[in-house]
Amino acid sequence: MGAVLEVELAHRLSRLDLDVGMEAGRETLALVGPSGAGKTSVLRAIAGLLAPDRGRIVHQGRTLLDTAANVSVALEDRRVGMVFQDGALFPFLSVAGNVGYGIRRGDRSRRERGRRVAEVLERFGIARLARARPGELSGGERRRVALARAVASYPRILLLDEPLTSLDPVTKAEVAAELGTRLGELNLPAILVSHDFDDVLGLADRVAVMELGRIAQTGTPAELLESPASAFVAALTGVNYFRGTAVRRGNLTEVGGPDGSGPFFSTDRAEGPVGVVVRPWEVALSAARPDGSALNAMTGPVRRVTPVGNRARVSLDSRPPIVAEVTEESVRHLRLEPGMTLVATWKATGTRLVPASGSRG
Amino acid sequence: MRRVDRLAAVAVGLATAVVIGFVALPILAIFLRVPASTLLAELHSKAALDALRVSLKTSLIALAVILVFGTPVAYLLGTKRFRGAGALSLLLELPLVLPPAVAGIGLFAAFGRFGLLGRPLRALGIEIPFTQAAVVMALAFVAMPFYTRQAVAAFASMDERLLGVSRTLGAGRTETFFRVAVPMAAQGLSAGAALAWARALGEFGATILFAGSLQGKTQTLPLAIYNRFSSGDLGAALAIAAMLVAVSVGLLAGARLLVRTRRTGGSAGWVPFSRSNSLIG
Repeated sequence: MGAVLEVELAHRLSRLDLDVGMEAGRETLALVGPSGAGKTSVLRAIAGLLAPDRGRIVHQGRTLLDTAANVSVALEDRRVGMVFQDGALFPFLSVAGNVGYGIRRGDRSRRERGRRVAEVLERFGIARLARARPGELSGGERRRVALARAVASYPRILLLDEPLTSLDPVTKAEVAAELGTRLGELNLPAILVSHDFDDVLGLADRVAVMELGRIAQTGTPAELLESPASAFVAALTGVNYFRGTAVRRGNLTEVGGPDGSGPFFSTDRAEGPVGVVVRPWEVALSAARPDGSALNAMTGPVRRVTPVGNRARVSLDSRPPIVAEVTEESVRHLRLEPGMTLVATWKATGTRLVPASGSRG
Repeated sequence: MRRVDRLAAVAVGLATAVVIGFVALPILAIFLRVPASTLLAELHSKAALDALRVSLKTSLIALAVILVFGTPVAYLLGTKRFRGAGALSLLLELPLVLPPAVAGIGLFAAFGRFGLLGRPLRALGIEIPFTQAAVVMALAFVAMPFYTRQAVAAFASMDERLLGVSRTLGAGRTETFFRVAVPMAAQGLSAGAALAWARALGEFGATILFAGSLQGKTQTLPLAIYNRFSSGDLGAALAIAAMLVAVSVGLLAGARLLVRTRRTGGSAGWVPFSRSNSLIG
């Protein structure tokens, strides 16, 4: 897919230096990272709400910003739709008034504008709310109206700031599903910002992980889960990651872990310094080391048990620490509680070896 | 209940009663001191009607001047950070603490016949003191900060993102100001306007120094009260005072009504009047 939108930005913020380069096609690109990583500043710069120190933004051959050439298209002429977290709806206008706000008065008759508003309200399933005020809407409805408002004025780029944050789980799932459908239909470059990797799974075509003002890694959600480039990316995607040194031993690779831990065994071929990725759902827990095919085992006390849906994430203070994701049933069966010592095991096929890139272990 | 608490409760009740009496009594006295028939008769006097006309006309023009000039400055102060913003807002608030007599003499020294701008103004054939223009200037000078303070606060508390959203939806700066900033600040702006108007209606000191007290020309309601009172006509003075009370109460009620109907399921109650300074006359 060719790049529809190219973005290069460098900007000094009070707490970090933003230095970002990225491309987006007609796809949904998620910027994911902890708060303070500079994600929202990137959105603001693309929209024109923030003037970066240096930067270049080109959309389909049209330069929106080029600080080197002293070009900066006024934000009202960029045709960039911005959707803020809680909607940022105009409180003094009805839903229909909000949706109709951006439809140009100049080149459209009142009647045409009315038709466009009605059409968008209908398409977004908010026609019954047309006369409601933003204060009367639920969180999910507000976001839907905000998206409808942005879409109604035919944007060429869509930016969404934390579209799924602070919604209850049920609403979140609904909003995510709907947003996915809408963004697919719109066929625009859409950039959304989220601090939660799980939230954008299934929504984003590609994910760019942001760390301290830079993009640490870009890839499909599956790629990031499979081979995180650093411990930071791994922590964000929720997989276990540690550094090691690999040595080939026949069909297997033997990996020495950090601080003399290990060895760990993998079916991946590698030699020398590697990143070791173990996905939590590949790790089994038991009271004593079981017989069987699991070549990897670590022992340690349970530090924490966190329910995730009908499963639980169990962190073990082993060396190195590891997180296992197990069913509720096994939590009950093992009578899991913090402090008890358990054995974590996984097969050699569950140890993924990735190139050890990045400066952070 | 402890004894000290009981005493305190009594003290609070007593204080409340005193305050109510202290504020309500003079207002009641205006209506009760002379028979109602006298009040009504005096209301029809030419002097009273002239004063009402002058007061309404000059205060409304002053209000328009304040809105037209004060709003952009307040928007600037409320939304932008720039060098000298602090000094500018201090200057804007100065008339609030300045005794009105000082304002009046200052206006005279600036725009009077022998004032700083007296010569150029005279060359243009413009003479300000002791005209209705002088009344308007005195009122605008004294009442302006009552509006701008509220307006700055209203603009400063706007959700900045809404201004940004408006721009991304294709509205330029000016359009955004009128379509988003003004409606968002509407409550504060109307409260400030009501306060400024009330202050202008009650203005006395600056007006009498700079504009004099010419019946039918520069004599506003407060000046008419003083004029009647000092010539010993208490009945007429009270009648005009009653008129001013009625106009002020009407203004207060109207402003409250306006704000209440504008709000839609709003959060904050009506604060501006209770929060702001007394209307020093």
